[in-house]
Amino acid sequence: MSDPANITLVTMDGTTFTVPSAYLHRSKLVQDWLRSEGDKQAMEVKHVTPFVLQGVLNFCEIHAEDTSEPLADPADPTKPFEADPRDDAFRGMPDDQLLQFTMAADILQIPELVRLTAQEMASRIDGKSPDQIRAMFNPDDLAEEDVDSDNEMGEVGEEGAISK
Amino acid sequence: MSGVNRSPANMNTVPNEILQTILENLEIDQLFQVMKVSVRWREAVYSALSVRFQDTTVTLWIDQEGHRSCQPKFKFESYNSKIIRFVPLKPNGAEVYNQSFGLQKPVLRLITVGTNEHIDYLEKEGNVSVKHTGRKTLLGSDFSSSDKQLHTWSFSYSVDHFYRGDREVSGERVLTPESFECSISFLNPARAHKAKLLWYLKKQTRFLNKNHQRKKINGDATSSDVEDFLHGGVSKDDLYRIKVHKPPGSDDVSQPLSNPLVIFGTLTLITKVSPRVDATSSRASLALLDPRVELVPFCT
Repeated sequence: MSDPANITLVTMDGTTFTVPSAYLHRSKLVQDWLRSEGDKQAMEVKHVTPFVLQGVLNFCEIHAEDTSEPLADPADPTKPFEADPRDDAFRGMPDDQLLQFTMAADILQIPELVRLTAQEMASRIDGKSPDQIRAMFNPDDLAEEDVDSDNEMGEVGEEGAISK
Repeated sequence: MSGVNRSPANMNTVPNEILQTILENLEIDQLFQVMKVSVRWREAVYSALSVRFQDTTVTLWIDQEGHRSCQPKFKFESYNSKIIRFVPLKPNGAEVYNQSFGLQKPVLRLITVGTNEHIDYLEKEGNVSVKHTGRKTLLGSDFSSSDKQLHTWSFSYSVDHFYRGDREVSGERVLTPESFECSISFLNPARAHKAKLLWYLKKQTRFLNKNHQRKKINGDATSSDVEDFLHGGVSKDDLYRIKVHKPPGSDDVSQPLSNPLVIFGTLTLITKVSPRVDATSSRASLALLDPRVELVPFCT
């Protein structure tokens, strides 16, 4: 049985992390799990790698003492996002890692981390052309006939003829 | 947590909700750019835009011969199927107009979004009919030369007699705005215009505005009214996209592939009629303009 003061998380490959429960007081998933009935040996965090979970736990540890009210929604417009120097590790992170952190934060339901990583990813997208964004993310559903492209635009003339 | 920069990142496995959360952090003009990335991104952008527009107001600028100016403001009410519905910010906000003989009808001059009153989203002015009382809808379809798309909107309002005390004032009408709906693309700031004198003159020049349509509906506009207006009486089944194929083995870039276009109504017959179009289209006469052109049913 886990110590109530600590919680053990198990990643997709079986790696375990035991941390103080207080670190994860902003994780709705963990709080719901702690309140639920049944065996509390360890909590499985599927789809999260040890590297990413370690980063998430670092974030939680850094912010464990924060007294701000927990965010109900990552997109809460009443609480404007303010960059925190303690989160600089996320700023220099490669795009794919940043996405993994966003997904892990979403799985663990930590709105503050979802907002931080989403905001950082949005800042990387901001100002880029569609082609540059495609190069960043290589979307696999690109359908030429359905998506506008800046240099392939024709127009309908007066009689419906195509003009360039 | 640093690492080697690996690209591209795999956004394809990220749930739509997260993609939308990311996109909600972008400004509106950037969201319209991002819309072109892919079909999936476009859908996420529509959802993100609907969230961004929840804090936005739309203002309609109406006057009658330069007088009795009113600017009803609308706030977000709902979003459904790429259509945003706005309702009056202040309920019961009304203006009195005169429909006497010799006076021009009130005119919808501008549509502005948010606090910026110097950017106009309306391609052509529209007459606001106040002669008969009751509920009315002004439908608009604006063709934007910047993005080569039709942008639709509708303004619903009610018209009542004007009373001073218990006495009806002849010729005076009270116009009460009820709702404003538009396609989300109508609110793309990239297609809007700086409200300068030259722009006002262009809006009033009839031959420059043939691509923009206006229609008045008495009473509530039904979906078939809107459909008829937007598609010239042609149902969605008769709509086709034009797809231009690059000739096999050709690297000719002097004739780039045309972007798919939605065609409605009658096209000028050029050379070769597609059998599939003949078989399925009863109301529109469509033809291939070029052997490279394929007509693809819009509703597939």
